[in-house]
Amino acid sequence: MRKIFYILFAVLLFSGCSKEKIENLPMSNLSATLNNGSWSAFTVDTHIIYIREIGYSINEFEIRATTKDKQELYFNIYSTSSGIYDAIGNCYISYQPDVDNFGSMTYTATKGEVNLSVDTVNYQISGTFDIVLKKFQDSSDSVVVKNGLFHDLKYTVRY
Amino acid sequence: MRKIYTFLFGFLLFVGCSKDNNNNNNSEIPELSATVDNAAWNAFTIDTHIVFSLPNMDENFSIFAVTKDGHELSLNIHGAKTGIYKVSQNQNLWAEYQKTSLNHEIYGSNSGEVNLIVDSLNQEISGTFNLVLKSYLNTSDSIVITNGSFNNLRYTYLNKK
Repeated sequence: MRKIFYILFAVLLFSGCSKEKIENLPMSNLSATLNNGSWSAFTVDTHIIYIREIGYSINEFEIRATTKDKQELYFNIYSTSSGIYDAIGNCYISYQPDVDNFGSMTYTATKGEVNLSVDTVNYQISGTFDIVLKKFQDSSDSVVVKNGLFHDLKYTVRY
Repeated sequence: MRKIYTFLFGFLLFVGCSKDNNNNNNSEIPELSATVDNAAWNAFTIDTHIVFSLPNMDENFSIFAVTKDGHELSLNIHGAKTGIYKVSQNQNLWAEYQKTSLNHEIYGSNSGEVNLIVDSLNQEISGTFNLVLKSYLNTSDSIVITNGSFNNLRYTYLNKK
């Protein structure tokens, strides 16, 4: 009986520890490797933007991820459905190393893709991305973003 | 002895369950809520940023909260420090509410205030607010917001393009 109790005690203790580990996942919902350094957003704004003009309307996803030190990754995906989207034809993606200086410092995507998964029941999106961005005024200056991951980003519709 | 084991097992099980319940409850607490025209109002997404205003590039807080069904509340606080910001006092506060997003029926703040607490170390803000807003199209149509509160909203800097 004593042995059974010890086993049960260990199982309960272990399951408690496992849960703590799950809860201790990185707090950021959007992270990546940027030029071989880790990059984690502090805030992520996620919306479907509704564009309406005469005889024309379209819904697109917009994700704005910002770090504490004013770096920004911005995604405009020209769709609201799950799928793989090319960084050139199906999205506009930009990176700014300093949002205070956005004019001359913007990098835009020249290669890569975003794999988007949309959960329309819970209003959440998840996905992965790998992209190469080049500086607008100096194409020899580039930023490589790998292992990009966003998960359970809540979204609302913005009109 | 068997009773003690049974009791301890039950206790451990209870502790495990209690922890789960607490976590679930915490995750359900909305970060920005209010009473809008006597009905509960909970934001589903909240964008919180410090933005800069011309001509002096002053730091202002911008909070943009949206419900699942697309109702929007924006609070534009003309300052980035802890304090009380009032609607009618040198435009220290400007709020807008969009009741039904598709028809663009927008309400602008007429009176009220935000009590803002800034934690610049952790880049989080908390606060309370009460507002009366009036329709731009029909000023006799108003919205009353009471018991507004927001807790530990993370903020970053944003340059509006």
